[in-house]
Amino acid sequence: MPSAPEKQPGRARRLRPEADEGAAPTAPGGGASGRAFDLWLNRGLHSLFDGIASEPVPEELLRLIEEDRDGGGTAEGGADDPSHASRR
Amino acid sequence: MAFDATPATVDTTSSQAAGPQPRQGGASRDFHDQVIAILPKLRVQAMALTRNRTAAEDLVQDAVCNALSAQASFIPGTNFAAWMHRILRNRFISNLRKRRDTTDIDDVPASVFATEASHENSLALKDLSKSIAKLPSDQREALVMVVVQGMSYEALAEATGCAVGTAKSRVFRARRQLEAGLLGEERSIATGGRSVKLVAESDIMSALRA
Repeated sequence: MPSAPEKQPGRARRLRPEADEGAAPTAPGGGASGRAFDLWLNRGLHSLFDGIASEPVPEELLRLIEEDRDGGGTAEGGADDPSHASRR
Repeated sequence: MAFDATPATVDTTSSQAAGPQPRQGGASRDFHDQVIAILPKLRVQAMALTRNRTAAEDLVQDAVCNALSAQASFIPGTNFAAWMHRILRNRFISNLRKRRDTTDIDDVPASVFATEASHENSLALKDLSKSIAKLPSDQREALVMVVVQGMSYEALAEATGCAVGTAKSRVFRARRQLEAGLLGEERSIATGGRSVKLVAESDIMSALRA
């Protein structure tokens, strides 16, 4: 069992030694098979979601942004922007 | 949800837009260009949260409207991507509260994550998409943003308004829950035997070798 890594200044202590950025953590009790699952999962996620990012943006949405840029937008506001609380 | 307006590095990775390309301009890039540039990533985040294409498109549009109306509150030079992702996330939460949605979370069509996967992988991906849909929304969102969009845990934490440890924990739990659900919990805790639930380990190994 590897010891927990030393805490580095300015960095959060890792939950687990293998929970590195983007890395596939080793599954409990099984190095190779756990790694295989994570690799398969990563590929599967890309298969499921990459197409969404590459689809054309709806014209309606682009028009909304351009109209606002030109000063004629009628976008309604809301209480969902991160700075809303600070403005109140 | 309070937003930390501490100036941060401007996100320069949100430039992979599909369709019209925004004008380039470095740090003084037009606000609207930044919105256009980040749309693909917002769509992925929205899809991860809603699990439904129509709802995802609506959520992105709502978030863009909110951002446009709040653009005066955005501090140029700070982390636009985090600001925008949090707007979308807040809108998602707000919609849930208003709607008190009673949709059965398991009743998500497999085709919601339409893919062009080869036939031999399509069944496994179908099971994967169903399992992903059953994850808690924060775990699903975290997993997708780290794996699919290549976000660091720090960026994810800032985009979702949580601590870095929480962000890591969400990704880790999502992975383990998917593993338990797809391979069988007995296998994931290594008690021996090969009780397989949905996806056979041999399928995974074959897919990796392909």
